[in-house]
Amino acid sequence: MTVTPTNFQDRPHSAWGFHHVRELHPTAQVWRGAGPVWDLPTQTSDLEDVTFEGADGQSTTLTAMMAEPVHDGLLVLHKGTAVYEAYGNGMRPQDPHILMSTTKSFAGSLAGILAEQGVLDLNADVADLVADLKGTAYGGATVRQVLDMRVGLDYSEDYTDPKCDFAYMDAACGWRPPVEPGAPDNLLDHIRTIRSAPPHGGAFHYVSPTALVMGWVLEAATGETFAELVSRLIWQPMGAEFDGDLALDRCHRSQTEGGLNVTLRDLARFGELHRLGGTANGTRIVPEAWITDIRENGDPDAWDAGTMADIMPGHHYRAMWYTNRSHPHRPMMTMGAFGQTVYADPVAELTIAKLSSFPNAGDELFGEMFRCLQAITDALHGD
Amino acid sequence: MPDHDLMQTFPAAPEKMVTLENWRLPPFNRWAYQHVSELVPSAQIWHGVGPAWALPRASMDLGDIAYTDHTGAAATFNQYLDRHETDGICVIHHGEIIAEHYRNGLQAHRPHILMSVSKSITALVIGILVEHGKLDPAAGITHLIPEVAGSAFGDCTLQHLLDMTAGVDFTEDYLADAGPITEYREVSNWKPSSNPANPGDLRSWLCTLKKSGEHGAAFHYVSPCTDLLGWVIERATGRPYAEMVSELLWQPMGAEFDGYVTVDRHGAPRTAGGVCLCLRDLARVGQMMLENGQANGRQVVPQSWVADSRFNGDKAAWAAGESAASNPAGSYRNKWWVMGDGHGAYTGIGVFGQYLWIDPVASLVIAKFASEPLPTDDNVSLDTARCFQAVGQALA
Repeated sequence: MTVTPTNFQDRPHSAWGFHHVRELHPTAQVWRGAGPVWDLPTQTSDLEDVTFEGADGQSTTLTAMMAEPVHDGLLVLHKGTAVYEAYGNGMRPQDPHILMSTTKSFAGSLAGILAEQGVLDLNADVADLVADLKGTAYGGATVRQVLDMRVGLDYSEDYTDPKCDFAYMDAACGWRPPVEPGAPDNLLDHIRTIRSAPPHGGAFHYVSPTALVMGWVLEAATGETFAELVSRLIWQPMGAEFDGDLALDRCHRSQTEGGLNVTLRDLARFGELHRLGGTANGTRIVPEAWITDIRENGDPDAWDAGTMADIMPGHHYRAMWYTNRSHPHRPMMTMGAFGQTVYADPVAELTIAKLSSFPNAGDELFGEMFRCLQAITDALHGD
Repeated sequence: MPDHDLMQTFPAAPEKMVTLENWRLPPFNRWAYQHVSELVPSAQIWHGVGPAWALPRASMDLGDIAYTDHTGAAATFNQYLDRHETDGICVIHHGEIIAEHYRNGLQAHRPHILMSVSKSITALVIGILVEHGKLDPAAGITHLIPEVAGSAFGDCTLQHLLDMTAGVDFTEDYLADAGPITEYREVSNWKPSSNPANPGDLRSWLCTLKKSGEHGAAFHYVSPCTDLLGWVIERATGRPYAEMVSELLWQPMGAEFDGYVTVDRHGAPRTAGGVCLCLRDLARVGQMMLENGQANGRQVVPQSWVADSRFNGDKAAWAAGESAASNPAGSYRNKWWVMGDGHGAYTGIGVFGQYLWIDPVASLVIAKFASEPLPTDDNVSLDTARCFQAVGQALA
């Protein structure tokens, strides 16, 4: 049984493929730098016995859940200490794992860093920054609208529909076989096919190519690749333990919508720095105001009118992060297809990183995962 | 800073775009050789969690060391670096780094392709596995790889593969744009497939190579023999090549950085040429050879393997082979080119200017990356040997 560039997202291939993406696709190095690692102390806990409602509706425990072969890694940081760290499917601490759309949140945090530095104007038209976007449906959209996924597009992203617009993107980046002969075989050409649906700035509309646009805006604004930006602005100052890598399409476009691969521990560090208001090990990484803005300033009406309100009511989306605004702790989180999440709860002083190979992109196992996150929160915080 | 304008804008203009189609050749190789993972899928060679093997530093100016180039003119070490599209050079003398320079935008932490110096790395892993009793150089390989029974390799031994004395019908014509060597590139993922519906894979292709002549008779440089060694390593251990390089070599040696190796559509590594490493780590390999296989306070490669590589090349096979004319005193053993000079120098050599030169008498290691305009050039080879030998003379 061979895992290939175009089947690696399907079970059973994903159980290996999701932590071997660089062996399937071209990738750019995300260097960790030469500095010291941000040490995460460890401490044993009784979290493994935490119970919650499993996917089958029956009560389950963390240990029982992690024994299922669709969970590749779970790390829980409480007050900065690793109180649970487990791996599945042969994944090891040093193996980078695909983040899918959790990659988008890296773009969102980088935007905050670069806006603070005056390098990125949030009010600029993205087509003025990236010349290739002129004449596309993204023309006239501001960086802010792109960050919040409020671009007026006619685009369907339904992971259960193999003919939806997103399916063409999945094929364009080489991650699926062509949907049909002659369809775009690279990401820019795919973006050129996206239809406009004015106006910009309306409802939340989850469109993965919008995060491609965001990443390419960052590259254009800095003259650095997305992989270099993650390294210079996050990975090095944060004290990442391992290099990561970023998948590239056949035209060397950075897959800033879903192509980042990092280890479980480093994903937890990334979440932890957000939990801490933007600092890692005492070093300022992301402006505190940017994180406050993410948690406080998402537009609830845009969310309620948007494409995900039915499955995740009471949230909002801001700078490519989700916030659960109906939760008393207002946790912020990322979400990637097939179960990739980092969850940061400043009130409970809790950060959880989860890497998975769920059978489906938008799997019902997400429900189990969220119940698991809440059970861990209750066990450690207990309000 | 890079000394080219490839891939410098987002996106690059079409004529400045490095692609899977153009990356191997100039001018695109100036950018490509330090960005190989961005073009070809690759498997990580993890450096582990331990501290790097610390190499002290001492400053020494080698720039004015003089040699006589292939035209008979006097030239200096600095001129050599300038003339040969150098991407990086690291020189170790008596265990101290005395020179380390990066050019063309290469950085210490960025892996650069070794091309056929990969072969020398692969053979070291073989040597370690021989010591562990997992492999026997004198044994045929079909008991491990029955798939090659009907090919050129059906009756050859591991040592034939190690010494490039297997009789294989294959011409190493790097500039050919048709024939077996382009098939080789395509099946190893180094070039877009001309038959996308049935692109093939490296190991199936190895099984199609035909025998020519007798094994053991003559030196005949056939890169795919070394890809077969990668397969042997995986069969003997049941583990991926990249993990075995990490576990047996990279971690115990105290490598400072991760490396990687390019892989084909089935994950088979191109162990003949696709290894990419950081310059200082390549120099560490040289220092380990100089210290008879010891590195970082431990015996990593068996001392007997190092000695065998240096002294046991088959002179008759060399004399009967295709490279004797360029260096009658030379020999080739365990993927090292033995110079046959007064210093007992030996080297790994990769196309387009990659070298790992070891001079035991001068206690000298020179690791060099380049992106030369030509894959092989007798004049460049001569200049390189003379330049490095002059450094050895100056430091002995």
